[in-house]
Amino acid sequence: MEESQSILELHVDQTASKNLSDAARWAKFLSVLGFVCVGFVLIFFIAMRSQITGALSRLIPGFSELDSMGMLIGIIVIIAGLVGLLLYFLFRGSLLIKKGIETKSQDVFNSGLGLLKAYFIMYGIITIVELVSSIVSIL
Amino acid sequence: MEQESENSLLDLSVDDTAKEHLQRICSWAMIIVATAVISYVVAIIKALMPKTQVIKSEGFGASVSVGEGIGSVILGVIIGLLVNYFLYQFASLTRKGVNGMSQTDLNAGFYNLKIYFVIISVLFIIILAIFLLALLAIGAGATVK
Repeated sequence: MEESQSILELHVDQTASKNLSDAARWAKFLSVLGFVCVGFVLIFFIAMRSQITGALSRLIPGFSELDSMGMLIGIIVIIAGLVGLLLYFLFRGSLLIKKGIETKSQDVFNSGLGLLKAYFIMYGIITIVELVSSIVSIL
Repeated sequence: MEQESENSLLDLSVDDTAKEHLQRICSWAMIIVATAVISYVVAIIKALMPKTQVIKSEGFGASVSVGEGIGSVILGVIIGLLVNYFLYQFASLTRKGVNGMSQTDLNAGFYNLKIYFVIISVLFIIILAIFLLALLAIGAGATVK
């Protein structure tokens, strides 16, 4: 009974394995590149903090340099945290999918798919928020 | 023939958990594509709307139109549509494969996911290279001065 069900099931066959492994490899590369970029942006902000806070305090009247610095740090921490979490889901998901395919471990493969799902959910929510903010900026 | 059937038994299967994950991934991928297409329309509308900024200089008021270049917006939209086409293909084919138990559609879906990540990675590298070149140019300019 179980065997006939297994034959009727979809399989991650050779073609699917190859495509998924390649997708996972590229996704891993993309996430590593993303981590490097987040690092560069953080270094850039730390190096240029005095110029940026100065420009912000001139741009927003009544904002002292200390207020600008606080706001800047808050925004950077939130954005870096969100992007970092998104990239973590992609990195870990791609790693587990590849490992699951290589070791033929169903649990590891499913965990990888679960993390890829988390990545797409988070990415979807971020795109919705972006869309809403750009529509609001038009109105 | 016997080996093929043995191979199939040794393969990973798309069990209920994997199916549930894949269906959710496809649903969210579709949401991402729909949101992206709407945001392209919004970006084009924004680019077509001229923004008027008043710049005051020593008592004179000059009206300057500083709308975002329509050319760059259209280029961005074309690239975005290309990327999202593969995401859409991945979502629709994988969903079709999982719901209709079609191995061919599932494989085609995974192939499109691969292409999607390849294109995004290549675009990311190009943008990063342009950014680094611009930084180098600015740095070189500052050194010359």
